[in-house]
Amino acid sequence: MIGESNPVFVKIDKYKDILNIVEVINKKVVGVKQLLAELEELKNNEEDEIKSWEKSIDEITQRLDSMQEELNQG
Amino acid sequence: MKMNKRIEGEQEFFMRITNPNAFRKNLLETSKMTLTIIKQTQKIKQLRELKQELMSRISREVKELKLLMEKADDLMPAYNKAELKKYFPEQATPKEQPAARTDFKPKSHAPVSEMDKLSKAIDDIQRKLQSL
Repeated sequence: MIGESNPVFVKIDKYKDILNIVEVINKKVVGVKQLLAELEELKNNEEDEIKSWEKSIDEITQRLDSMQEELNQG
Repeated sequence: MKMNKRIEGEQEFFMRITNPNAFRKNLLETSKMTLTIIKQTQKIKQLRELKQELMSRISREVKELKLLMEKADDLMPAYNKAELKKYFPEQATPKEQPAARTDFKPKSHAPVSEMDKLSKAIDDIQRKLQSL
């Protein structure tokens, strides 16, 4: 944790500049948060696709097994 | 001589498929699913491209944030201890001298990677924080 330090005096124009920059930083941080949420959503979509992929492969395996069985019955 | 001509004396055998409709259905369903998987692969590829694009955007934004923070830091007044003593004689208490650095490493001429640069920047900020 940062302890209390000695005060400093900032010129008004610089002070305003710093305020503006902090405001821009805040807006950018909000934007980055949104981008991260979008990234999370894409990641979830990708995971869902992979799960459905696995499901399809399982179904193919089942169908192949039943085809194999059908062939062996002959 | 034809290649597919049956060898003399060879007998033809037939296998019985009891439920050909079910067999065909399974075969068609399997083909359909295979195509679905190819489609899913394409979709995953697209999603990964979007993710890559998004990650590049985040990286750019974070770099801009870094620049803005550096700019704000530059705007903060720099003062040294002598100046501080002049203005705040009662507050300018002497601080401990920083210990001599023992982590000195000779400069290497190996190419510096982006990761090394970032690690160095983090170390610099950590040193600044410790000195506050």
